[in-house]
Formats: sequence, C-alpha cells, structure tokens
Amino acid sequence: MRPRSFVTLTLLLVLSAAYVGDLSGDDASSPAERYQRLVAEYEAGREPRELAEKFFDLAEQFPKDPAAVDALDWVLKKLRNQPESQRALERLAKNHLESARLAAVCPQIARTSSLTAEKLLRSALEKSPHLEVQAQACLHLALLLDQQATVVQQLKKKPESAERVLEYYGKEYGRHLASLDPKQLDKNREQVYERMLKSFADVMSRDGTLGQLAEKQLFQIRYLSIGRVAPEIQGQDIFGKEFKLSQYRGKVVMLSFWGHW
Amino acid sequence: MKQLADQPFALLGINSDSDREELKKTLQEEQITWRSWWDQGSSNGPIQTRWNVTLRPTIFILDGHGVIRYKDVTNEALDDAIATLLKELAGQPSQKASADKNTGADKK
Repeated sequence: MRPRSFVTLTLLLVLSAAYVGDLSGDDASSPAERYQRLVAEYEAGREPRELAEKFFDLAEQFPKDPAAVDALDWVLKKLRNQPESQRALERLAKNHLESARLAAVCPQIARTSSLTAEKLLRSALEKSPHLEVQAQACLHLALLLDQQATVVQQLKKKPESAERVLEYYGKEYGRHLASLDPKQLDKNREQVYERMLKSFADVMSRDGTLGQLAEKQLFQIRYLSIGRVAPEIQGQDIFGKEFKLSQYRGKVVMLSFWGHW
Repeated sequence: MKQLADQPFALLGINSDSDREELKKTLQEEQITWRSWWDQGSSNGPIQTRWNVTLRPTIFILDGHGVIRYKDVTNEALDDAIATLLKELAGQPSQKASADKNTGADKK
C-alpha cells in the first residue's frame, strides 16, 4: 500500500472506531455489564431517584435481555413506595411478562403494596410461558393475599389501627385493604392455594414443597378461620384420660395453646 | 375466670410440655384447674401441628356451636368476647348444635 493511502486508511479506521465507541455510550459492553455499572454508581453514593431514569432507559433499550428485568427490579427495591415503582410495575406488565427472569422479581413485586402489583402477579401466573415464573407468581400472590388477610383481621379487631394502616400502605392501597370483605378474601386465597396444589405441588420452596404449603394453608383457611366450625380435637389430658372438644358443644370455649420451656 | 364458674363456659388447654410428671406438679403449684390435652410432649404435637400453632400463647374462642369467633384476643377484648358469646348463647332457644359451617352465627 502506498504510504499516503495507508495513513488515510488508518485515520479512517481510528475515527470510525471512536465513532462506534461513542454510539454505544461508554461501552461496547453487554446489557448485564451496563446494569452492573449503574448499580456501582448507586453504591458509590448516587441518589436512587437520579439513577432511576437510566435504569428505565436500559430496560427500554434491551427489552429481551434479562438485565432489563433486573433494572426494573432495582427500581422496585430502591424506590419502593415512590411513583417510580408504579412505573416499573407497569413496564414489567407491558413488556416483560414473557421473560424467564420474572421469577426472580416476584418477591419484590409482592412487597410493592399496590393493586398493580397484585394484578401483575395474576397476569404472570396466567400468561407466562415459564413454569418457574408461574410457580413464583402463584406463591407470592398467595403470600400477598395472606398478608392482606392479616391486615384485614387486625382492622376488624382494632378499628383504631386504620390510621396506621393508611400511613404504612399509602392512602390508595390502605383504603383498598380497609374495604376488603374477609370472606371474599378467604375465597380468593383458597383459589390461589388450590391452583398451587394443582399445578406446582412439586416445586421446592424454603420450607418444603409448594404442595405442602398449599395443603397447610388450605386447611387453615377452610377450618381455622373465624366463622368456621373448629376441627375436632381428641386426645389424652395430662392425667391420661381421653376427651374430645365436641363434648363441649353448647358452651363457649376458650382454647389456649400453652406450655413452658 | 371465677365469675364464669356458673356459666356455660370452658377453658381448655393444649399443652406442649415434654415432662408429664413435672406438668402435674406445675398444675398443682399454679392451681390450674382447667383441663388440657397433653400434645405428645412437644410443640410439634399432632394438635398443634393441625392447628398450625407456632407462637404461644395462641387463643381461639368458640361459640356454643363450635364456631371459631375470635383469635388471639387478650385482656379486655378477651373478656368482651366471652361476654358477648355468653349473651348470645343465653338469648338462643335450646337446640342441638349441628355441624353447619356458614350460619349467620358469625355475625357479631
């Protein structure tokens, strides 16, 4: 090659390399690497609010990459009761229902106290093509509804705690909780646990299989909720004599589970 | 609880203590006169497992039909709950309790 064209060619190559470098930002790196870099910025002290937009951009730019879901998960974690969380939930619902990565985000979705979160889990359960996502959505939807039941029971027992509930959960979700009918809620819980038992019984969870969890919860909902006839108890008393709970029908009974240790 | 002696009320326990003989001594020492099931000597006994009890004390209040009406009430709320259910029982015509699940009996 003649020297002048060589120089021109080299110059052209160097310039185009620099141009390409600019085009993909400060990286020719993968979405995962870009995600990590944003996380590092946060850990270095940047305010989550400032970084949120960049995480959203990442999710927009690489919708098929798991890093997009990670990015939205980050927003859910760091900006939990902020408007950005709602936006993240909406994005997940709109663009990422098919993602296998959604399984890992289900716990955080459940922790975001909102109707959108509940809807998203139901959508994932119905629409995801991945069994693992369906199972996690089912589990965390069930846990979310269990938590609602606890709050509703608390509100019935102590109506004065309503203010604290509104404060903790925000007005919209707080009011929603206060309006829930305990019987309907139990029906919903029953349906979700029945689905769990039917479709995900063998999936492992922290304390056993989802089948075991479902059976335990279904028993509780069906037989140990307020308004249900208590299951029979029979066994020996401390002196070895057999007796049954049903012997006490016709009386008001206080059952006390107690012991020393 | 003394004023409940003449009322159709029963306090029943489910006990998780491991040593039955020690427990008999405890009953005497603490003058516990109400009856308890001994749930096989551990907190994983069959009754506690079935009722999914992990924290103690856990309390359930049942009405005259065996329906669970209150859970984990204490102090005044407990007294009120028992009083309410006793009033309810007194106001009803005598009937054999049938195992009906969803009667209107769960209205306060």
